[in-house]
Amino acid sequence: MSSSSPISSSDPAAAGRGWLGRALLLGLAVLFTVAAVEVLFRLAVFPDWRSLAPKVTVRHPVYGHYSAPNLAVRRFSPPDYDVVNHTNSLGFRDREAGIDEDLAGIWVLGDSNAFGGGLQDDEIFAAVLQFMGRKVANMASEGPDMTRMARVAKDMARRGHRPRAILYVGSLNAFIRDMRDSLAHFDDPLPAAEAPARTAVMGPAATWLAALRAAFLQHDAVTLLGLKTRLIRNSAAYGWVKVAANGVPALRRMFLRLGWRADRDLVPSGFTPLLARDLGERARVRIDSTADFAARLAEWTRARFGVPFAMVLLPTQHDLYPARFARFLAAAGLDPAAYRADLARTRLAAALAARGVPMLDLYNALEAHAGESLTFLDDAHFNRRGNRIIAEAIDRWLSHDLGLRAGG
Amino acid sequence: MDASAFAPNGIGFALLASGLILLAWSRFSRLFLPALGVASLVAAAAWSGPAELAALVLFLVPPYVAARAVWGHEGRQGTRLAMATIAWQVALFAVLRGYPFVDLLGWLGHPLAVVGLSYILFRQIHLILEAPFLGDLPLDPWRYLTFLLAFWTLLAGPIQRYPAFVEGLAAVGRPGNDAALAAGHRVVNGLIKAFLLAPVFLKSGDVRLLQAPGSDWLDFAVLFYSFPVYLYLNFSGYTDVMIGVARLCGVTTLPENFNRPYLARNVQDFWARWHMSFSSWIQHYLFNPLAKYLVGRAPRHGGAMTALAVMVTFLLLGAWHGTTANYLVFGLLHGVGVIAVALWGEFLKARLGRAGRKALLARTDVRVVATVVTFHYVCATLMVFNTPLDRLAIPLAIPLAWLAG
Repeated sequence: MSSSSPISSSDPAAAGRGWLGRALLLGLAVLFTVAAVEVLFRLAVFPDWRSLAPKVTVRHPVYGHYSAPNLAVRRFSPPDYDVVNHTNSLGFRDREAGIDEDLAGIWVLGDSNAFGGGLQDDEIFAAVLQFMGRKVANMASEGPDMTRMARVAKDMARRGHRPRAILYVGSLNAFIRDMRDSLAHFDDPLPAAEAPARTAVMGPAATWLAALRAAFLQHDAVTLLGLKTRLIRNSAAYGWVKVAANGVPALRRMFLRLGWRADRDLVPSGFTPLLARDLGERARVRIDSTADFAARLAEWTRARFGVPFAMVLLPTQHDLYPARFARFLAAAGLDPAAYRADLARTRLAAALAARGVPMLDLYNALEAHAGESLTFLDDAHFNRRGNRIIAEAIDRWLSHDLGLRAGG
Repeated sequence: MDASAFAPNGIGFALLASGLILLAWSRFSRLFLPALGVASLVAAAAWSGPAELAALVLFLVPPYVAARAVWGHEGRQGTRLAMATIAWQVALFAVLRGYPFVDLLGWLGHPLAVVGLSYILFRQIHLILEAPFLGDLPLDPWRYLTFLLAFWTLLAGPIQRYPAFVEGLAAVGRPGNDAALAAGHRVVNGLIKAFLLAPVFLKSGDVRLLQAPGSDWLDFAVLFYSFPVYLYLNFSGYTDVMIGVARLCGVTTLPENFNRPYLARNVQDFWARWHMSFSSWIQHYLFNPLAKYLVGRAPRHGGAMTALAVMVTFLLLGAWHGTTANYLVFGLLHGVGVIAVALWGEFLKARLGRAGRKALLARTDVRVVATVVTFHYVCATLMVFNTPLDRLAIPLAIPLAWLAG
């Protein structure tokens, strides 16, 4: 090997000598093995891997992160679901033809349970309400964010749509947040956008800055959750272990036992201090400011449209299934005497009542069926049956309490 | 498995590359040629559907027959069969590439461009023309197929010549530790350039992007500089990966493609540094014979004939890049640039003499100015490269708006 040109020729005599040579060989062997296993999984074991963790939200110029328009993505998580999520050109989990009619009906704002990622389009409670003869526009998007939902409603108002009522269907306890800053900016004008729900047209400089920001300032790639998401989007082998293997009951039990699979029962239901009998200051602020924000939204709805606004509270799995809550407390090392699963719900309900915000607490309706499985096996979102019960309860309440009969 | 798995950052590429390297390092390295052929076929198949593969087969056979017919027969260069085959291949290439004037294959959704059909064509023309002089090298169908489809040059070159290919295969084996580390370093550098840094820059210099509301000088500057940087990082990064992988297999004969091109001091120098294997091929197989022919036809107008050869060469170079008029104009602008450099050189020589010109061009300030001017000229031509001609006036809106206050 020439010393002046270290890569100019092979040097069989020196090749592979010493620890460095062995390390290089080992590195290559590892790379080859990993690649071979991955290719095997992609081709033979788990060809459905592309359906895992699809990207369903995009940056929206007015709303922030919001459901991508014109989605048709498969959501795959055995044994719970294998469905296709569609959105229309506005990013709504709703139909394209006839959306203007729906926007003249009930606006459903909300988060993941209202978006219904694990459900077919016609299984979500908003769609079931539609089948019951109501006009419903499902504007919910994944991730609890009342601020974003308020922007969506304001944008629809700006476009000239007018609802019969607005419902915020919130998954407890996730949407109970410190809303003081959002409340302070509630009346700020919406960002201007000629076609807000379509992809914004950015100039080259803004596009470049966005690319820079995405490359260097978004930390999701280096957080554990971000890394897992990347892995699940890029590796069939990891995706199989993480998701597909759950379709095999014995493997699912083994993975749960080994801790490779998150146990649904042990996932916290939002901010745990909200459930403490002794309510701390931070939790109190969350409840009060969330209720304040809801009251502000109700006031805006009345002022803008003269129609009712109401909060619909979806109880947590721990609230509905006390045994799961007991397991969670034990696993988290929390004193069962110091926590109660219903406290966030009842406290928020009381705060909303004190502010005169109409509210439907779905606990009783769902608890009456708690002998059935109303949530998925692997996450706490409501399944098809749960959504059916939610739709029926909302339908009754709309008729009896808000005086909104079906057919409009 | 989709084709993207065989991009240089894909798992399929990692499998093929690491497998070939391990084979080259093993006692079974004599199986490297068949393995490289199989790996290359797998990669080509991943990038193509059945219709494209059928078209590819059609594209691969005639040149082998033509080259085989004159292989080692030194007196038989430039036979009618060779010329007819080249003409046939070029015509077939134009059809498969989907040039508008021969758009016969609307049914072929994927015109094979992505598998680097043009790079295959360049190697085929080289092989047909050099066949009479390559008789001491082995040629058989498998070797021919592997030469054309070698997975490390399949998508975007570099354009390897057949003697270098054979020489490289003869040297397959495990490089020394230093050489292996250097090659691995190059692969990693290439991946960083092509897949981490390049995506940060704009993938297009299309001035229609300036139609976004509120676009101003800053937007123009970003558009002007970003695409050239992207193009360099993407292309040279890709080349680094391929050359690094080949060197890890002991193959050191893959040609270099880039030599700090944006430090070029004129357009001629730029093409000596940018996509070098392509420039060299163009010079060898297009410009030199064309210039020789034209000057031979009109020896008293040698300068004009050479300039004509330059313009034709760059016109074809532009046409090779794409099927619309802006690519032709891109080529013409570079041709004009090369001729201007030559005229400027002659002018300086007349004014300052040969030694005076040499001294002037060696001055640091002149070199810096020349480099800056050349870089901006190239950036401007790349803007043309990306933009339909009838939209080239869009940037004028910015100074007009500025003047209007």
